[in-house]
Amino acid sequence: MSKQDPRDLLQGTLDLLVLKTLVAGSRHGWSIGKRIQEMSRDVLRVNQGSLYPALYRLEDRGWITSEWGISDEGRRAKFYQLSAAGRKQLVAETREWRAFSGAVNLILDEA
Amino acid sequence: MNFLELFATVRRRLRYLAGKAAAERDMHDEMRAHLEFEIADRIRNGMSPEEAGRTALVDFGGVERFKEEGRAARGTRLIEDLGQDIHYAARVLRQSPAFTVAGVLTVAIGIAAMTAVFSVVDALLFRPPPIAAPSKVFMVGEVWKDGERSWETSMGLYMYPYEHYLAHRSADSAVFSGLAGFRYTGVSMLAGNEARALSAMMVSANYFQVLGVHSALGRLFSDTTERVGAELPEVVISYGMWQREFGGDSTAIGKLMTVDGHSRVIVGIAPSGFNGTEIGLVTDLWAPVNDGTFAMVGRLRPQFTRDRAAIALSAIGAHIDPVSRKQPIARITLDPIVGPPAMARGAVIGFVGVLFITAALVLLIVVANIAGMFSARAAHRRREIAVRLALGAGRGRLVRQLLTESVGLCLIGGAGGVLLATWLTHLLPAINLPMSARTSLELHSNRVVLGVSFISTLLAGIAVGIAPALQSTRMDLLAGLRGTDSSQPRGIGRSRSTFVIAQLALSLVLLITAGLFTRAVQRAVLVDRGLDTRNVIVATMNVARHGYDDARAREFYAQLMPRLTARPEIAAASRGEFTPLSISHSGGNVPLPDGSHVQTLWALVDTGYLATMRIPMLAGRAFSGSDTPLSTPVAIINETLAKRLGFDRAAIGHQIKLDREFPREIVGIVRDGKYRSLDEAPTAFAFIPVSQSHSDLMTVHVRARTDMPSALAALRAEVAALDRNIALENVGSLSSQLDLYVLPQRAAAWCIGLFGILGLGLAALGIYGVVAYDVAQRTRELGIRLALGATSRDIVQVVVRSSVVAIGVALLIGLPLALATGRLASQFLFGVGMADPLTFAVVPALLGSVALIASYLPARRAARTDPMVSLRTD
Repeated sequence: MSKQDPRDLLQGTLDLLVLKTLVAGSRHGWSIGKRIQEMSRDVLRVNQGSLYPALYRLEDRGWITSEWGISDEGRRAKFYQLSAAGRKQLVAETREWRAFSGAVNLILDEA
Repeated sequence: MNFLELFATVRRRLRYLAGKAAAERDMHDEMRAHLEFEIADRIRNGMSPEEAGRTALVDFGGVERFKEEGRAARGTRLIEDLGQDIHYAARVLRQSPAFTVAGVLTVAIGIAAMTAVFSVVDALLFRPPPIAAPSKVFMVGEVWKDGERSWETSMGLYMYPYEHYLAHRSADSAVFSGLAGFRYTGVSMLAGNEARALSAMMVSANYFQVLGVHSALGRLFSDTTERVGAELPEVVISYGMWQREFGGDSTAIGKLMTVDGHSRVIVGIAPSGFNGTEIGLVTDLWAPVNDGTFAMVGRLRPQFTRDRAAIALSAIGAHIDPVSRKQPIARITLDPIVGPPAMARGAVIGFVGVLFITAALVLLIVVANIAGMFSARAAHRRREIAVRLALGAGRGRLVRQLLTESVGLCLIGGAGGVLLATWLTHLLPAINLPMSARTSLELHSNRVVLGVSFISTLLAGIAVGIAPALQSTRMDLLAGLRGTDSSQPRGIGRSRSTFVIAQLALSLVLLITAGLFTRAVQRAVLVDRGLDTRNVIVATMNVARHGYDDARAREFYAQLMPRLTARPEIAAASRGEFTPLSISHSGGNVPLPDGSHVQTLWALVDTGYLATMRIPMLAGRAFSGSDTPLSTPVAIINETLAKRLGFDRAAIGHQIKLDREFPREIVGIVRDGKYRSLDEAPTAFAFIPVSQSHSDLMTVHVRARTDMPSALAALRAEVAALDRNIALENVGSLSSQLDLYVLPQRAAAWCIGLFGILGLGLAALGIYGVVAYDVAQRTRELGIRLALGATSRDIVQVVVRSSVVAIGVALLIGLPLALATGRLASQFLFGVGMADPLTFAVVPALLGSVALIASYLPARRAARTDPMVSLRTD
């Protein structure tokens, strides 16, 4: 599960973004994808299908929980919510990402 | 991941698996809901419904692929695969019942051997006695300046006078929270008109307290018991005796029982399973005493480790008054109570090591055998495996599948093996050794034993499956599918003959070891013991315990011995301090003229002893009635002592000083005998007339005139006629008691031999299988050879040649291994060389012939087939 290949970085980033979108409250899958797109001002487009494996993985690790409910539009949908462990994970991953991107920026600025 | 998180994850996954159908539906619904949101969104942004539906689906990507990724993300793939593997393995094993039954039975035998041996190992070496915090409790021993450890040993324990115990108890109190003393002894209990011999422990009153043992009923001794001991002596009986004698009735507390002619009141029942601290010894009762000799056992204070305590104790020991020892204490030793007594540790560990290696070898043979079976079957399943590889099954996945089959088979066999071992260990009778305590080893499968069985089963399963699995999944796909891959069977055939070679080599090791033990038993029986053991009954009695003082004891024996010799059933009777070859003998140093000294054993005997035991006199005279306390002190010595003294036969008339005693005049020289063990080096020994010394404990030796049972009846009748309180202990024929000294060897010869024959049988079947398979593969080739005019002898030669090579290789590997095992076992072999020529000639010849016959049979069948038939088969 902890194999290191280039996709892991992407997945890891996606995990971080998903967790972030859930800070304000529960959301269903489609709105998570939409929210990432909006927050990044359309820069990041999540491949819609690959969102679900990520959600299941996060749920398997106990960072999010899910529950069926009714959306604002009156449609039945599965809503995801941050767990306490997920909040902790988000803080840790955010710190890691900041350190990582900061380091990359330092290198780029130097050049 | 910490344990709680892991647990939560596992629970989530199991819940997911349990509701798998629901979860699948869930996933489907969720993805559909997503698409509906997306389509609605696109329509809101101005797309036509048709276009929105189409593009949304395309943008989403492959639904099935994401579902599969989603399943993988749940982390349940491995478990699902395992379920599938088990299901499939069960089907495969069911499909070939003969293969499965043969495999399961073979594994069961191997695991049963391992489990049975390990339950002995566990009982002897690892299981602590049922006391509080056994790791803090140690046997305490002294080492003196000259390297000696004690004047006396008993049951493999170093014994010290009561005064030493008291000195330690007060001097060492900073290190020990409590120091207790105990000794094993036999006692007689009067039950009705019959005196019954029991195993007892004489203990210091704090014994139970130090060990942290609590009574099952009543109370145990209080610390003050030894001070009030004289009024009404107390006794604690074992749980087993309480059940046996009192039917477990609680009114037993407060009852009186007659022990050695004295009344004692039963104050308590020891807890079930408690027998003291020595593994394997049974105790019927405990009585507090404050005299005699003690083995010392202490409980360390919590702040002391064993090493720190030993250092502190040795410092204290230097200040303990050496007067009663004559020698200062150099060091104090602490021996753990888990495992056999310190003196016997080396021998027990060696013996158990031999058994353990045997069991491991049997298991290896089993593994090689089943690996061979799996290998052969892998050859038959090449097509099936090729198909699955072609359909895209991963190699790892297939190896896992094949391993599931072998591990599954081994687990079933292992379960059977544990049951078989349980049954076997129940069959082992409690063996009574000629000692003043009964022995029994409680063998039961506890968690440790079961754990070892389980792990060895699992390892066996993997070992069995891994080679065939790796080999059969590494194949030329096309050839495999066509079923014409002619290069493949060779590889498999080669690995099969490797397994057969392994089996043959291991069987050789077992059979040679068994052969060496058999030779050892043979030699032990032939060893010159320096006396005539036939028709002799021995029985021990301790009259001092019945309140006989020295004078009364002399009177008793003065009456008993003539009455015995007067009986027509008895040819001769005498008494001596010890049975020959008993582990307890008095001994000490005898000074030599040059100032050094010689380690010498001695025993008190009466005037008739040498004649009764038929010990040949070489010079001088036997003891006679004229050797009295008032006449010159005398001794009779053996050849070795005479030689060491530098006198040889001329020793008669010289003086000898046995240890701390006054000098004695040597009046006779006898032939050497065996005194402590059958393989001991010539040992210096001296006899002292009992009339000039005294001993509480005496063993009566009676030589029957015709048969032993009537002589024994006569002995019992005469003893009872003099004092019905006196019990005969350790009654038996001398030769059967001596036989006990070769019991471990005999048991090893049987057990290892049986396993060796089993192994050889399996190996022979293996060879037969390999050759038969080889012949079947080469039918065409052999047919052509026959058609071209080869005789059937040529054919047999061609076929058998490869097994001859295999047998040769097996011998080359097995012989050095057997030599190494023989070296390990050499301390039990009574001097049978580890390269005993007879064993090393006969066993390989036997093994080679069996293996040759096993390969000759299928070869002959091949040679007899009609060439036309064999050519047509393809």
